[in-house]
Amino acid sequence: MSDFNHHLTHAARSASFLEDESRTNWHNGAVMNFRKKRDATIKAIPEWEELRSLASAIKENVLGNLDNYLEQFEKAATENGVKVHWAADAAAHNLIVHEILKNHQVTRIVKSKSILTEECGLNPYLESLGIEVIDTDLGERIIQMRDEPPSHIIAPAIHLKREEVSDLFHDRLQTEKGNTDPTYLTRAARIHLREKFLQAQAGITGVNFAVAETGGVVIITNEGNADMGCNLPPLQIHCVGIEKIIPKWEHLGVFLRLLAPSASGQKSSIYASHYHRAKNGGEMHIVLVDNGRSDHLGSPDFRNTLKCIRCSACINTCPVYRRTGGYSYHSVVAGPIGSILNPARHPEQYNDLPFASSLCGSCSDVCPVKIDIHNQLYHLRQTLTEKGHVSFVKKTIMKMAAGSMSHAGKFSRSMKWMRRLLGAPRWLLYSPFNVWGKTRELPTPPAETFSEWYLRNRRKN
Amino acid sequence: MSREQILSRIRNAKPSANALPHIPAFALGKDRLQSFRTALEANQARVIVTEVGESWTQQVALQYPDAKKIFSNLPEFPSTISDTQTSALAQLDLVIVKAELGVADNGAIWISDKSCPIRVLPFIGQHLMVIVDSSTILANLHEAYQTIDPRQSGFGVFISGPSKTADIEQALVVGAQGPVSMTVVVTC
Repeated sequence: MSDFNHHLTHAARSASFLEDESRTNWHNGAVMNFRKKRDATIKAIPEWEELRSLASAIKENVLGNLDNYLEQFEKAATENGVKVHWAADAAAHNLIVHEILKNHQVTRIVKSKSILTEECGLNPYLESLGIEVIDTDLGERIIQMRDEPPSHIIAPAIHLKREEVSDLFHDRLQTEKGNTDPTYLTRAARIHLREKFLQAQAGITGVNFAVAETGGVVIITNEGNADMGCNLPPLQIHCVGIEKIIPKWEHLGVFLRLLAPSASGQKSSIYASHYHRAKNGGEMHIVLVDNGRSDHLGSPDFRNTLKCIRCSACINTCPVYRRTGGYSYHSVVAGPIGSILNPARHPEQYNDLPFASSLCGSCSDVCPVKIDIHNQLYHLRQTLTEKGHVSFVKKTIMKMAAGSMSHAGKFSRSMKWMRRLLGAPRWLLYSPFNVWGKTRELPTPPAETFSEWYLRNRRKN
Repeated sequence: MSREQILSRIRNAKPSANALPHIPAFALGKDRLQSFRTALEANQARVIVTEVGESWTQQVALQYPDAKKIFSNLPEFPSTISDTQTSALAQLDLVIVKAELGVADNGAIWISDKSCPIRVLPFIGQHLMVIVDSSTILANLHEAYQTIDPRQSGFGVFISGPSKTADIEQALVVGAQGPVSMTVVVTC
């Protein structure tokens, strides 16, 4: 898995993504598809808004009781014969998982999609210790073969075209050269992955919901990969971010009804698997991972983001994500929610992300747990600027703008200068210093302002 | 070590808690069987509703005429194989299981290791047939979670169609890592 380097900002990365205009348009449409399907599905759910309010209130309750629920979960799971582990950070998480695998002499594992293990860098860690790790979600397997990180949390290979997948599979799975039929390619992956499932000695998954009351974990997929991975080998390991706790069994009804429509626009995902105990003769482990979440909980302005159920609705609706691609965000979770989660925890690496937004608010409108995403992004910009995490140029321009906009006289004088500037020759106006002019034409300035026109035409009467 | 560290960090960081909301019993507002069928078909499952008193067993040959290796957990249709080793299960043409309950609102079907002790069965066969007694179809997930007792099974799954993916250019492909088709027979 390639590491992200954080030297290039979202804007710089977007510039290279935008170079291929037809591909950008294609990506925009592909992601927008999710949004359209979501809209069609939720229209047929009369209690949609009520479900959102319920989910938000349940998650609110979780934030205020997280320690109690975690202890309750641990107790219930332990009573079910499940081994519960606690990891304060990514390194502890990786060590724990390796320790479990070592105790069972495991050298081959299958994994289903988990953003958490991606966040912790589990794959490269285990591979460096000689363990074969196979990602089994089709999209994840594709990007794993390409040695790329995911570009979207539920559709990790959404940035790729079928021709690229075809070439990759020809190379790795000996499929016919030039056969780009998605069904043909998926069947080839199916055969390849079934072989891996049968050979695996352990299955590792992420978790959608962990129920405090019952000590069980719920994993949701469409492909069936998590279930093949958990139910074939004797050993199963589930890695859970601590914010994934929900209080009661009955709450699953609320969250499951929101998740699939918000994610892929399905009324229901194909599989929602509930694991409470190990299979006969098997072992079940759950690793509870903090890795910055408890610190995040301590930040009153941004803790709401911990309600996130990782559905991707905010990503799919975001005009900036759709036109700049997941990799522009140089993080595991891209899009609006990632633009809060990442800088709230690592401001020095991700101070560019809150600015990768038009603040249009569409993200907040679609969020199934009612996180005020755009307000947090706006607020985060101010916090980062106060803390000195914003570039000198941006700060200076903002200061100048604030200066001229806070005084009527200064404002009209500076506008006059701006209009004159727009009349400058092209070579000067579209020089490399004008980043706005790179891909767009600047407007033709009017000859005079409204005030000037008013003074000339009306005042004299 | 990590445990105490995490819990104490949370105690210092957490906000004051609100009360948990009451979850109302949402009404379905439409015909259960019709809704169940529509939702399953939207997820590419085939749905057959038998006549009152009609046996479902003839549907096996009708729907899957080429299936030879068949595993069934229903007494009305004996399995054609008895080997339950993983390598044998991986060769199954068809798996037939009985549903514990169905959900009208979203077409989900509950199967647990109470009725299906080999957990991988609903996933490993080439095709899946599920027999649902129409009297077990509940309105929605809220009702289903009230009915299911999680202490009775170590593993349970809602299934609402054949496995599928759209990971290559968002093109829908039915048949990913689980069954490539699913037939639901509702008995009346």
